[in-house]
Order: sequence, then structure tokens, then C-alpha cells
Amino acid sequence: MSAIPLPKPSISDSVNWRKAPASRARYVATQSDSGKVSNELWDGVQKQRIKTVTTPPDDVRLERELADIFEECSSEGWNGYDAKPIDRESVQLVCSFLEKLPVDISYPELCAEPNGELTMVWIKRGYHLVIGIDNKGKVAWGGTSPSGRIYGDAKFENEIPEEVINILHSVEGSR
Amino acid sequence: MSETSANPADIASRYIYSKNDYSSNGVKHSAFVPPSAYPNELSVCIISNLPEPEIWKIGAETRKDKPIKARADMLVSAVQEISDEQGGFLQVLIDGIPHPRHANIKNLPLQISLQRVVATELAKKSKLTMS
Repeated sequence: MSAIPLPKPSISDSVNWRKAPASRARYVATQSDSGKVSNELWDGVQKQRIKTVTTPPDDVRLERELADIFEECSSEGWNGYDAKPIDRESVQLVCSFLEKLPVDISYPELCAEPNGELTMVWIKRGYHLVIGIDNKGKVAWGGTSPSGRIYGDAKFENEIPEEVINILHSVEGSR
Repeated sequence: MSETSANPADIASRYIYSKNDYSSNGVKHSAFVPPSAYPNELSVCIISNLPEPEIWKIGAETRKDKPIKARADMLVSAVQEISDEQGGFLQVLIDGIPHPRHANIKNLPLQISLQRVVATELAKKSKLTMS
């Protein structure tokens, strides 16, 4: 995979959850849509826009977390124990993963690991799940569930692996 | 110096030098993920029977270039209960380098997904103490 240069902590450029993720499309409705939808539908869109504006969305929290991680984890040995700097390709792949997250799955917390990977963490309903993506696109998950340990890996090739979606639905209790 | 197994009743502490590794909810799993260069061990200090100022002093002297932020304390027996998925369990071995109370958690799995399992288990079993 070729390295994609990212600008230094310009989070809004590298993280565009609002731009056009189909599964998160509720955030992208704009006035230009008005000619395409009926008045009734447009009212619904406007209500959704108001809701989005008045309730700070999770993607704002994620951008803040990512900014903190860039600030804290960009140098060698940032954790005091030989940690590698946060890997920008891992960050890009995690952003791509998050864009494709189905709407019924909540956004995770973000956390850097000493190997340079950015990881996503869900702590919910007795689950403590960590999912990371390395710079080769390998998704590796590990953690605990009410029934014991859960772990595995798969390839992330523009789609979230089915196995990972299933685990996330279990975490959410939506399946 | 040869390594000796820590007493299960002892308390081991992992010093935390980055705010990435803890939150208001406690210690994060990342505090217990080993670096790629040393994937099979995690550095800790046996702090049993030490006064608080001495505990912090050891952590500060170990990494003079980074201010210590917090520490994760855990019972050695709790660490030793964690399976390595190879039929064994984690160990806490005192090596005395660079400090007489220095130890390493050993037998960590090499597979990254399993490292994440073990890291979440260690995080759950540890108590966060802020500096």
C-alpha cells in the first residue's frame, strides 16, 4: 500500500465523517437537496439538521480525540516505553472504517497503541472490545465479552469484514 | 542477575507517562500493550510496603525525560491468573534492573489480537492512581 501523506494534525482534512459516508448520510443533507424532495420530506430533513446542530455529534468528539492522540503520540517513545509514533496510514484506515460503520453501531473511543496503531474501543454491555488496523490493512480485534475472550483478525479491503460487524452488533445488542 | 518470581500477595505497578493510557474511567488497555521491540514483556515495579513518595520517586527516576502522570497498580496474583492461551499463565519476574524492585510481566502472547485480550484483562484488574 502506498503511503498517503497526511497533513500534520489537520484533523478536519484527514477525518471527514461528515463528508459522504452513505451509512451516516443523516449528517450530509443540505439546502441543495430541496429541489429533489417533497416539502414533507424536506421538513424531515430540516428537523434532522436541527437535531444534529443542537446535539453535538459523536464525530466531533472523535475529531477531538484524534487531535489529542496526534499531539500526545507523534514522537518516538511517547509512552516512556519505546512506543512508535502514531502511524498515519493506520489512522487513515481507521477513519475509512468509521465512515463505513453502520448507523446502528455507536462510535467508539479512540486510543493509540505503542505499536503505532490507532485502535477503536467499545466498552458496553459487559464487552470490552479493542479493534485496530495496521498499515497493511489487517484488522485485529481482541477483548472480553460476558462469555469470555474474543479475538481474531481479518483483512480490511474497503468493507468492514462481516465477522467484525457481527461482533459489533453483539456489543450493541442489536442482533 | 537471575530472575525470581514475585510473591502473589505483592502489588505490581506500571508507571504511566502518557495521558493516552488513562482516562477518568481508569487505566486504558494501551498501558498494557508491549512495544513491538519487546513484545514479550511489560515493565513493572513491585511497590509492596513502600511509602507513596518512594513509589513515585522510582517511577520518576526511571524516565527522567518524561513526567510521570499516573500508575496502574495490580495484585501479582491477579496477573498470574491470566492465561497466555498457550496452556500457561502470565508471570511476574523480578530482575532487579535498573532498580532492585523492577520486574517484568512475561509470557505475553505475540499475536496482536491476543495481546489486546490480555491488555484489556490487565486494565480491568488494575487500579489507577494519579501522581
